Amino acid sequence: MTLRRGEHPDELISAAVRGDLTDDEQARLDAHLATCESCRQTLAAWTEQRRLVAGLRQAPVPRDLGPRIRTGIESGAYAVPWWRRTGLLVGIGATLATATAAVVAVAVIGDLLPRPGVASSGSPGSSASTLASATAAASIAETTTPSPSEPPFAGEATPHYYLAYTGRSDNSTLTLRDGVQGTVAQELPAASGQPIRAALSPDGRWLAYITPVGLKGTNMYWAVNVEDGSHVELGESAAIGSPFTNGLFWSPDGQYLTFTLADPEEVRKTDIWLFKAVDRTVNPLTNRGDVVAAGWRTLQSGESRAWATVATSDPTSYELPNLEDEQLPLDPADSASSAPGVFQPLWNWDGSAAIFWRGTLNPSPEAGYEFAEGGAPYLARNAGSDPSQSFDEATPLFSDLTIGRDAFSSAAITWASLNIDAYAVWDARWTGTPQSADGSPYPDQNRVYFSHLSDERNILAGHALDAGDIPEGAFVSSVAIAPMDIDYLAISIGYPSAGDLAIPEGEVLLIKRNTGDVPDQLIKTLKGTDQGWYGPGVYP
Amino acid sequence: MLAIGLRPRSPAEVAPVTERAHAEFDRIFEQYSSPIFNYVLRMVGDADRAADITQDTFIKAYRKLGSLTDEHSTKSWLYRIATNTAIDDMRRRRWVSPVGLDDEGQPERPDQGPGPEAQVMAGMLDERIQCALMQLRPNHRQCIVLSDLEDMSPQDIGEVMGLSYGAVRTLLCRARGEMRRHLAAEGLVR
Repeated sequence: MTLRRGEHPDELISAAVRGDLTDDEQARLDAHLATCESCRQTLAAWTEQRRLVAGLRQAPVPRDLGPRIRTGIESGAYAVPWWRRTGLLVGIGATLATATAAVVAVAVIGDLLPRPGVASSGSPGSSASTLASATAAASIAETTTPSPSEPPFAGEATPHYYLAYTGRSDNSTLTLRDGVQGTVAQELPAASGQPIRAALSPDGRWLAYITPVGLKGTNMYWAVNVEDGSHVELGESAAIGSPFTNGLFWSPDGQYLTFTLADPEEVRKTDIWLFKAVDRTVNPLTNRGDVVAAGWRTLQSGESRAWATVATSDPTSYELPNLEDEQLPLDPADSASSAPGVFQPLWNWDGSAAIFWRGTLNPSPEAGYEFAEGGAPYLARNAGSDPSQSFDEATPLFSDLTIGRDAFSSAAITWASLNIDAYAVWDARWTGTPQSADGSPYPDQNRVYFSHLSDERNILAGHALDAGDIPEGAFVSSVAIAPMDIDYLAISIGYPSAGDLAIPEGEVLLIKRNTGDVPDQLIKTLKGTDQGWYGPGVYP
Repeated sequence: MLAIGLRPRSPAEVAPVTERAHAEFDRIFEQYSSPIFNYVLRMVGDADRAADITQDTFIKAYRKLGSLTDEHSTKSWLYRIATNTAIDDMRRRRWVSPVGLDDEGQPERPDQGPGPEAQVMAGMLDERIQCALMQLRPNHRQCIVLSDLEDMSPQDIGEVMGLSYGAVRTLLCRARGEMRRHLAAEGLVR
């Protein structure tokens, strides 16, 4: 563990407010308080706020509550969980196939609710036995790291799904696995390489993913309906190998997916494509040849808007209008809202913050849209009402780095989904001299950097996950953050391949990020018994 | 006759629930209807929604009485049902607009009727505290309310939220930090 969030024992102070400390903890806290004015103020403030909350007045119970309950019980018309109400489950019928879909649908949507424990969301048999095509292929061999201190809520932190590319190189299969049980949830279209990137829609119904096409130098983009297994081919793209072009951006309501395709015939052209889940259509969103997709911003009205970046050497990003009202394809430069100098903003869940890039871009897709000079990610806060001002006031994401001749060429970045303020950076490619105090690589392409929006320092060297989290020789392929407050990350790692014809090997590490002197904790490894590539892991 | 006026009915009509269970439900409603309603009210910030959720909570509790084997766990069992019902409600509304940002997420105090100046002042303070609560993420809000309003121990909160003791302490610490920022913005704490 290398991260030190100061030396302030906030958890002890929090527990002390209610008198929940052991004698030993109280002694440690007292000793600290004797020398720390900041913590004394924190204790006083938290004690006062507990007094304020405890003093909230009790509201009278509505007089008709009893009769309403009586009526509800006697009529049998008790409340039905929202996810079982009419209209949410489409196509639950009498056929075996439809019944299968319904079981999967309930499992999927049920997973959006808090999971009380590892084995709480249905038995392995109940889901696997109804999947006629998948039962035989199920390979349940999740390896769990024995740990007496494993938190009981690890099931909630486990990715809802992960992909598995297994078999021999000339006879491989790609499947979608249930994250908790390890069972096969869906068979996926044949692939000739391990999944590069995957993203589950926020409503949990669609999974988008990217796989390479053997040695052809292209990538296939797919969307699969996790409820019924139907899939849509989204397109084929020249394989650029840049984190800037393999993003899969779901709208917050799960209705749209935007992504970047590079023309396989004319690699110098990239455009954004749009998948509409409601009618399963795929269409070009732009047609300029120099555009890459960015994130979706949630407006204060609750609507959301897609963003696009015109990737010239001095890039500009645009907020696109409501796509339902537009004739496609459109030119982002016609949009009323623009952000000059901003490259690929990635918005957090409520649109209040964005991580974006500044710098001089090498605008060639063949070069991976790398930054040629002064490239660095920035964090814009308080973007809710005026994004342009927040871009102007943004602070460097890596706040302890000096960006000059030495800078980033690229990095992969993700926010947590839902209402969590965490973000992570990996595959950070730094051109120049490391800037760590001890000469160790920093930024380090093999480390994952993890922080929270609430941490005003953004990222420091100490925000790297423990070096020991990633096995020797492995590389980080992708990262997903669990949508819960406790810090869990599903890190997909790969191992160098033995050769072009060998099946690649990879696995998903579920890691609990700890603070202070407590090392990070490997909760479990998601993989099967068959040799192959397991990952990425995904959350809605 | 039950406190809520539920008539004991024929076995065919209410097969899972015995007369003894009726009495037990009567006691639970008497004891917990007000705490549960107020807990939910602080969670969702709207009296009508709180009433609906409390109603659903007790109906579910009635139907699950058979699963309640330990009288000592009644409180956490009931709060857990209320919590899940409230979360369902918030999730459903989230698809319309994010929880905490929509107008419905803003606190709407139940009608307290006219009162003396002190009551008005207290009501204004309540509103500011409730406003700060509503700006918290739902699980932070839940943690603060259970700890500081309901005075539950971390172990009890863990039972309600399905979290370990350590996880509750971590979550509560973060929730206090977030709450402090919002209360400080209201000028209520430093």
